[in-house]
Amino acid sequence: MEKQLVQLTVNGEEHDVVIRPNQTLVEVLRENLELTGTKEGCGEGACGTCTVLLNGKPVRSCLTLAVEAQGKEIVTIEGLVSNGQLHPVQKAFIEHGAIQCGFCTPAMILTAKALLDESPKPTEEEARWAISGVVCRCTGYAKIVEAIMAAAGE
Amino acid sequence: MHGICQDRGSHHGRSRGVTERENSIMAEHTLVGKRVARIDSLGKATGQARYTADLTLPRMLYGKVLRSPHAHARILHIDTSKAEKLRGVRAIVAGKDTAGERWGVFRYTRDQQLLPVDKVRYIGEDVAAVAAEDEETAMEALELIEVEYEVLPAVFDPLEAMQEGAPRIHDHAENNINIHVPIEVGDVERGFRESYYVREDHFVNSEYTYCQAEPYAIVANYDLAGNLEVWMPNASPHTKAKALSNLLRMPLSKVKVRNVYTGGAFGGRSDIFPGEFIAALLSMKAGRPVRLVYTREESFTGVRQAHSMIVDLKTGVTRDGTFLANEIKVVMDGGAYSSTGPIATSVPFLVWEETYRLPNVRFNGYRVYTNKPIRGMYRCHGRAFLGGLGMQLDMIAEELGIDPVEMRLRNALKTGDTQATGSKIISCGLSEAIQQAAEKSGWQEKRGKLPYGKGIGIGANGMMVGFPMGIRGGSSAMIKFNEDGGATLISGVVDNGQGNDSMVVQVAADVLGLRMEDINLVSGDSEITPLDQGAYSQTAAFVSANAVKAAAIDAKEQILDIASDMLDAMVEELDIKEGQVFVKVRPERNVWLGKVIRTALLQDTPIMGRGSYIPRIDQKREWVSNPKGQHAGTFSFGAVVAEVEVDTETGQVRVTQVTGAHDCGFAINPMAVEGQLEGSVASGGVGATLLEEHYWDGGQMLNANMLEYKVPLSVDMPQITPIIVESVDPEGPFGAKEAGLWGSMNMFQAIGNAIYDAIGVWIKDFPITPDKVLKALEENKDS
Amino acid sequence: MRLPKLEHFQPESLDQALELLGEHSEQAKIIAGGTELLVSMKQGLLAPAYLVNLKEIPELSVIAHDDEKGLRIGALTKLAALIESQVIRENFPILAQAANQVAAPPLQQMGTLGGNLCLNTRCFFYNQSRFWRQARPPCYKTGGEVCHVVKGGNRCYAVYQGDMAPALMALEATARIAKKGGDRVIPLGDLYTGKGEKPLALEPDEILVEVQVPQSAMEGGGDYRKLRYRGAMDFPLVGVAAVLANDGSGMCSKAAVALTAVGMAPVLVEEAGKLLQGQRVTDDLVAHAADAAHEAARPVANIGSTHSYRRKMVRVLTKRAIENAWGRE
Repeated sequence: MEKQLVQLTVNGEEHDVVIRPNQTLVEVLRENLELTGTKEGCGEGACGTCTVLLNGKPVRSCLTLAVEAQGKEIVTIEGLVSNGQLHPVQKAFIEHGAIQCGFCTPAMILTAKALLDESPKPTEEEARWAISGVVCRCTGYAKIVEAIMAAAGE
Repeated sequence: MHGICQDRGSHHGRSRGVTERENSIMAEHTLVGKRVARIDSLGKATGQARYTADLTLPRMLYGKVLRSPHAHARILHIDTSKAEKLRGVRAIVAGKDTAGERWGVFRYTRDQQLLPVDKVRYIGEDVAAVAAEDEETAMEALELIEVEYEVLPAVFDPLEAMQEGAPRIHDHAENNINIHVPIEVGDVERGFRESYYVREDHFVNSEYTYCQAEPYAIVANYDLAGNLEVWMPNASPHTKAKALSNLLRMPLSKVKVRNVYTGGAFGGRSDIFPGEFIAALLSMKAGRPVRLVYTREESFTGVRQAHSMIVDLKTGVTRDGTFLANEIKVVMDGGAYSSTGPIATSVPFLVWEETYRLPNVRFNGYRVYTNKPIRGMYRCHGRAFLGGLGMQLDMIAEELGIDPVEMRLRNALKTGDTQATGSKIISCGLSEAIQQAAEKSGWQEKRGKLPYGKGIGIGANGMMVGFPMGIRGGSSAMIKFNEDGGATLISGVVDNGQGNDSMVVQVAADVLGLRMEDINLVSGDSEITPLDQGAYSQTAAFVSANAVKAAAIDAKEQILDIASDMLDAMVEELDIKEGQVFVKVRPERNVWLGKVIRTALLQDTPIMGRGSYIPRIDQKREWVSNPKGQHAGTFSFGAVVAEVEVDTETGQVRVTQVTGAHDCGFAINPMAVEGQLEGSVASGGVGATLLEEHYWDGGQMLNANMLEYKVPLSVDMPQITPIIVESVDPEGPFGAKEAGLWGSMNMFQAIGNAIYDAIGVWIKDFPITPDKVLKALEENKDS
Repeated sequence: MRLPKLEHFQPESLDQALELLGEHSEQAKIIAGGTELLVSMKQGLLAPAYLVNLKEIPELSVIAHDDEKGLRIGALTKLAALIESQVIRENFPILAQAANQVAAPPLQQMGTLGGNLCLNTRCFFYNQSRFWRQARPPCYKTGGEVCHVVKGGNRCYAVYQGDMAPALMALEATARIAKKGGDRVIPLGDLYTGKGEKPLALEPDEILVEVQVPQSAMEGGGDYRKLRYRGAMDFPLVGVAAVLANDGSGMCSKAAVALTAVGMAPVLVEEAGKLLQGQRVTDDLVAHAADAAHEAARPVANIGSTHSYRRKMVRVLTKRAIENAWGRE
């Protein structure tokens, strides 16, 4: 199996990375690019902690081959802070106590951001549906939904 | 002179309770009791927070574990020679590389060799492990290890395991009984004789899994000086360090379990696991750091699970519904080793005696070995048990024509009561919690009055705070100051996501009149931080924060002492706010804290706060041999009302509303307390009561993954109204007790009872999945 | 979790893709959304040496509709695109409804129509890691000689759990299958063999490229009911699609009922369709049709819940699907 050189655009930056074709995007992000904010909670697409935005849409990076991500805009949690400023969703999560153990937090925040980018004033039901693919074991989702609605209100 | 503290030289620090003097020293609250953002939220929100699998060390190797495919087998021979030859393999370990020590949480439960030498007792048990240059090589190496087994007959059901002739899993355990806890109080026979009404019921509860978001992982680094540094998600670095020190025969000072973010615990990260032992051995053998990351499947079956329970209850009451006699038998499936067996087997009873007055009670708890993965504590055990008793309470209430809320109030413990096995209650908001939950949920208007298919039910619980853990039951804390007025708090407190780190900083900052961002925290590190019980027995607030508060008060005393000279005032006249020490009646007379720190340094009395706390319990109390006496420092209480909608054609139950009241003593950070309540509505309520269960085929779990093990999702959740009840405990810091265990204890009853209100059937088999509801409806129609 | 070694191709046209498949045949697999294939590969269930990625072939994700030819959907159309498509929502809403019940939004973003139609059959004893499966003798589906679910069983009972198939079968859909050298068009139902161990009637060098729905199929209302314990993510424990057309006078002119998750293939319940056709839709008739669906369902205990409960739910969901479909007319 030959290694290949690929170009990945992550958080607005271009990276030349030498990878194997059997590496998933989550592996390459975490191991090659040391962006450990994206997690691997199950490796099977069932938990959502590997969520990244691919061309603005939340996807499971554990089920995306790194080679496929070429030519696409990849956004990870590390890409949300801009000029030292937190994204409104990040602020809302912090202010509303929506973060406990934090392991699902990057996935939740990215999913929320993608939702609000597309649908700036979602209903609570829409917000719940948008995050229905990410498992949280700590919060019962209550303050996460609250934070999303608060960020939408801004 | 000015200071009251005479003996500066040998300052012992504060401990225990709040004295009058302390009251006068303390300012009104600037932080405690307020909704504050947690100190760890920023790191987690930005991806900067690093969990164990995110850590890398130079020249790190990757570990993988070879696991037993047999539920019960003798290990005849392990041949690692082929694997050793594989390019990239740097170390291999198996039972023969160990000292053969058996581990046990208690001295009398030492039944597990973390890398077995003689036998494997469950599918998935660790048999050997490899460290290699990369994960793929490690996985390939596992394939090359040859293990010869002699397969033995296995047993998977606890009742079967207790029968004569069942395969013997441990030589020392007859009938595979791991632990038997017998408790007897009063005269049970007489109690039943005098009862107006007696009923017997049988309840069953599946086992569960923590399914924390973060899979298990360990990084271990052993250096040539004999230091072992370890990182792993854990609930107590001191407990892990002690265990490793025993198993590796190293002094405690050489075993350094470091602080690292933990992605959820819920009781599943508590005692020692083979993983850390293996990672340490690999690192020692290879002379390089080793990272071992579990797959999700391994996290389900290779760490801990939660017990299944079979519960038989016989309860006798007076005409007005007061308990007269209770006889309780619980059989728990403990899996292959004992873990926290004695605690596990006792808690199901204790949480009951912590809620209601039980004048005459007999309990027999059995923890039984089976050839299944090991069962540990799940948010304190006992939920199904409480679910059973909580539902039986309603059945009795119905028979007697008493409202379930009233029934609970009649039996509820109160401040000053003594529990069945002798624990005194120093603060109790149970009745208040029940009443508030009932009122806020509209109980009176709804109970028995909702249309068919809709129902409302109540559950209540008591919860121990600070139980016997010997020398490990207490916490101490220290605070040091920088010359620019900032401080560093050193505490053994452990944060698994509950907000404990932030809580202690909030407490220290409040006492010291500083902002939270002025105080750094070094926590949960077995080398650096003093002994602390960890996130166990619900003690982060009651014990760890108490110690921190004491340390902060101690520091403040020292500061005011020095400042009193500088400001020419009495200590009682001074206070600290926003980093300024000032005269209360004349705030323009003030001095910057940094200056006080410097002055203290020059005077050779540097400011160092010290404090400690250990719960006032009967240290002679023992889970099995002496289950009597003061069991815990205090108790928290809660009540929850749940509303459900049942689709009577499909049997699907939807929880629509939850109104929950928790007597946490005092909410140091109300937002964090709410977060705990809401979280447990998901895991203890919707999850454990309706969705979560294990499917087994022999010794194999069929659904050890996050698609088929049904953890509630955002769309499965009800509206939640949390209510905080504050009974202001006399011992707890600012009156605080605990806030993490609530829904896990009472939601079973609330939902089970609500289902009865909705469709008139009692379902005593948890989780209450739609097929069971349908079956109950069909049977009800026939009868 | 790691993937086995593989070589990855990203053809830019269907012809290129077919060429590659023709060349590598048994050693190659196509990858669309990857949400099933990559999981299977991580578990060691499949280990194709070559992956032929279809994502960069735009012609495969077209949704086209005209009043004569009806609807054509490319197999690589994302489920999310089906949900959002104006054309689908207006003309064939049951398809958007079914697509919206697959998993959850991020998986709808990755998963494709073709991928969902070509889902491998599933079973607790099959969808497991290599370590897990090594603890027992291999089953029929993995090349062995035993079924772990039906003790003594002589065949594989792995369950087909796709959500889109019953909806499309109820719409009389056909499928175009391409291979180097020519296409063939078959009724969608013929794509399924009914064999648990090899559920799809596709050669290794063939690709499902398109699904067509005749315009006439959607004269009526449709409904897809899915039973799952959680409100998202889960595969169906039972799924029922019903399409009913009203002749204008309150009589059902045409009806179709199809099931999923009740056997080794999706099932078109012809009996139910016959019962309803040309009749007034009364409660009694609906109950009969639901009985027919119940008859056609043969679940076993291999995917969770209990098979007896799931079988009962076929009746309940069929009744509801028919009533809703009729109500939407």
